[in-house]
Amino acid sequence: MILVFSLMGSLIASAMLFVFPFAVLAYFFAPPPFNLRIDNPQTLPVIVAFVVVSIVGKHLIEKVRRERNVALEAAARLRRGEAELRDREKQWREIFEHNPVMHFMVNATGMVLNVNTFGATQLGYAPSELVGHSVLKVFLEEDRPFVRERVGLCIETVGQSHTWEIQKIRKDGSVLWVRENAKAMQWAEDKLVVLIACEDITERKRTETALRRSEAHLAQAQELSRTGSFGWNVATGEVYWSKETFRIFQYDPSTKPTPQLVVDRTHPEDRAAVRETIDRAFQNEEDFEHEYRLLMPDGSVKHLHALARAIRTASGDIEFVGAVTDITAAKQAEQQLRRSEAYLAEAQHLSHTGSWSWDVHRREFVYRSAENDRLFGFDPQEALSIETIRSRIHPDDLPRLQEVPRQAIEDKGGHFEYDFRILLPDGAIRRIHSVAHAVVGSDGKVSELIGTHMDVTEQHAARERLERALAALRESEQRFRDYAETASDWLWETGPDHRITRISEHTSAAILTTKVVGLLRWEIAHDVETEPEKWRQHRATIDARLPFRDFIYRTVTQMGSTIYVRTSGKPFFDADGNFLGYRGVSTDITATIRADQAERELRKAQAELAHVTRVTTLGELTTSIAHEINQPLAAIVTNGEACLGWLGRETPDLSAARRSVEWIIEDGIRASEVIRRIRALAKKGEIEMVPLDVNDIVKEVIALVTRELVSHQVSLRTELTPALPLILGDRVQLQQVITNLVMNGIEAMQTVSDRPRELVIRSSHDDMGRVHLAVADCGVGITEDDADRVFNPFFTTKSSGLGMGLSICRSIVEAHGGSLSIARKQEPGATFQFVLPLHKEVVS
Amino acid sequence: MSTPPLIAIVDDDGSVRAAINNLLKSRGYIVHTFVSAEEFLRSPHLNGTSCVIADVQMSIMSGLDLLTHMRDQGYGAPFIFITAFPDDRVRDRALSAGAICFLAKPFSGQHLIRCLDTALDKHRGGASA
Repeated sequence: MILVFSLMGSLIASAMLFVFPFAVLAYFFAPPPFNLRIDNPQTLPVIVAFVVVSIVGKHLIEKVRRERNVALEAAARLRRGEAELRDREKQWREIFEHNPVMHFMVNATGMVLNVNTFGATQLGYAPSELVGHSVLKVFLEEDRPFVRERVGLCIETVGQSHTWEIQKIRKDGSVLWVRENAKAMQWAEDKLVVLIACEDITERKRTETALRRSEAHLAQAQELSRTGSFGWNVATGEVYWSKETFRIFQYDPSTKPTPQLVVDRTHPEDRAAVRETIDRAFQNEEDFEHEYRLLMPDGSVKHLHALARAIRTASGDIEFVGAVTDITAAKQAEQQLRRSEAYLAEAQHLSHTGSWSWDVHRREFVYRSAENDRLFGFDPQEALSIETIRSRIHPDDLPRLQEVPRQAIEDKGGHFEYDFRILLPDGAIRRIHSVAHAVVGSDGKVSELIGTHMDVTEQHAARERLERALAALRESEQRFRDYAETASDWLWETGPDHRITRISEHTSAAILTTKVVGLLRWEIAHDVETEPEKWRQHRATIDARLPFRDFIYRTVTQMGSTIYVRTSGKPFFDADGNFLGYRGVSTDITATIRADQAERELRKAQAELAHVTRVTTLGELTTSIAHEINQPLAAIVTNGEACLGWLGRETPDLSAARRSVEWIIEDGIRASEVIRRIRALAKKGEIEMVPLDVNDIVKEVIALVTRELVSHQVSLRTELTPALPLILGDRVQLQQVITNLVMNGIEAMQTVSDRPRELVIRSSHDDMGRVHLAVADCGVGITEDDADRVFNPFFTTKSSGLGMGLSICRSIVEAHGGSLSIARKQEPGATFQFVLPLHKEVVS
Repeated sequence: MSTPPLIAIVDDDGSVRAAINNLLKSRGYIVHTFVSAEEFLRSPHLNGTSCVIADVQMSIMSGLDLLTHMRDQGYGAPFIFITAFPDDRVRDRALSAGAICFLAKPFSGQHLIRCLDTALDKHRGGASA
């Protein structure tokens, strides 16, 4: 090296200027030995030419040339330059000593051979305190092996530079960070020295430590905030991920990060969007921000939020620098919140309750829940004018609603509950129950009303239905009360002990005194003693808790008059079936009873009258009856004598006698039959309603009137419909009616001589099953005037008779539920006919 | 009694007719019975009848009408009337018209026989005269 330098020295002297500082550095370590030998005159011009710039070269050249030019060096020149060199040497020494870089020179054992003053001072030592001591003295105990190892390394690799950073210990114990640059070099024949330049990097180290600490803090912050950072140089494709970014993506930190890794981890559903975002950012070189999900190897899902800025680097490339945050927790919280909100909304929806907040001064909604909008039929996005809101409120309810905020402002607070109706655009009405609370601001004034609107339309409808049902029930009750009151004079109720607990008399006349309450029902009756059996049966009925109907008893009104009461009752029980008493209705039927009695009297009179007329008829029939009886009697007597005749013969004819007796018997029966019929007609018996065949009655009547027909030269024609339905009637009375009609017919034809006197008796039945019977004559007939009067009592055209016949007949027929009338006809004469209802019991 | 007298009975009541027929036969008379005057009038025995015993009250032609009709026709057979309606006016009319007897039912058989005998005597006398 020294040789090269010396050769090169004269040729590239100017170039040497550039390496001067390095030469100086190397050179100062060995000036004393060189100084002694600088006396080569050839080198002087060179040295002169490079006075300042190439001392190293001069020394090296001197060293190289020392053996060749030793003798050549002129002592004079040496002497001449000696002082100058000494100055220079001193000068360089000063430079070396005060060079603001610490320099050590140690031997292979680490012993300090030299140290510059600056360096020693920096360490708080005098150079003499260090020279001759182990260099380890200025190192931390723990660093000493490293120092030893480093020195060893330099020794082994002579000529090679080694750099490291290490702390040095000042004399006062404080620490100094140095960057050491060391190299071993051959010094003397076989001696190796290690030259070490120590750059004070304490400040840098401090900065570095601070930086490292910041980085640590950042890393911790990233970890804590679950935010990773990343860098992406689009041009170079170089990607930087922070530790946290690796952790978020769950990649090994040793992995080389690429955008593809991001895509690989992305949830399949978000992959396309992520790729698109990245591509767009890549193409447009613009900031991007996106949220996406990761599908982790364990199947879990992470939500990420990534934000990146496009930054132009010094080299003009675009680099994206960004942060990626694991927002899974936030997302979950958000989802949780959304869910809660959804639950709340759902709850509001389900309960038809909307919540709202109303600014009482600005008169607008500060907040309105979705359900609130639904109730009003508002679009959630819609900005609501006060007019719109008012338009949805029933005009009748608007003043009340407006009163609430006014009241709240006036009272400076308050709690309100009110009802109103929402009028929807389609005309539907919602009924709202509202609860509101005034919010008082820090100024003590009401700022807002917060509240809820609950849709109570259904409840209202239900209540209305209930009210309607109740009204219907009340009406029903009233209806039944009306029925009961109409059908009775008073209602009563007894307890389980049959004592009267309630009397509600609704007739205008107070019949019973209210004093009867508390009495037993039979204590107010006045016929218990006279009709014990009736009451005994009644008591048995109510003891058996059976309903009873139309029980009639006698009592006395509070006015003291006797009345007859008809009462019906029904036991009533509680839900468990316990007997609670009777409820019933009572009616004063005194008038009815009296009427019944009157009717019975009338019936009796009518029956007697009928009897009288029957007897009268019998009187009229006397000759016929006599004839009917005398005929068989005549036969009997005659046959008896004939019998005697047959027996009185010389040879009695017994068979003829026997025959005669038989005839006697037959005629006797015939006679008694006639008498029976007459007795039946004459009988004054009770009316006996039995099922009857009208044809049978007709035949019986014919038997009675045959002689009358004969004697009046009237021929009888019967047209009897066979198998007539049975009617319910009294045989004798119906015989009387028919006999009467027949007799009238016979009499009506009394004067007829120009035509056959024919009487027709016709029986039939109609579609309704009623039985018709007609008696037609061809007599004088009945004039129009008489037709209206023939049924009147005492009307008669006959010279004899009471004129009661047809009147009685009509009464009898009507008593049988039928009617008696005159039928119009073209031919001469009259036809009387009656219709009788069929006997339903027999039919059914 | 070379020729037994023929007696005609006219009565619409079968029992009475049969009873009189029975009585008279028991006494040995020859009797013909008729249910009505018209039937008797159509009878071939009309001329040979010695006595007519007739009911007064019969439909269409009464006993009295029959008597009148017979007399008008020139038949002189004596009449004995029997009736269940003993009416004095009818009795008077019957007797004045020439009836032998007017008997009210029921009558005694012997009374009828006596009347019959009287009538037959009269008829025989009349016939012989």
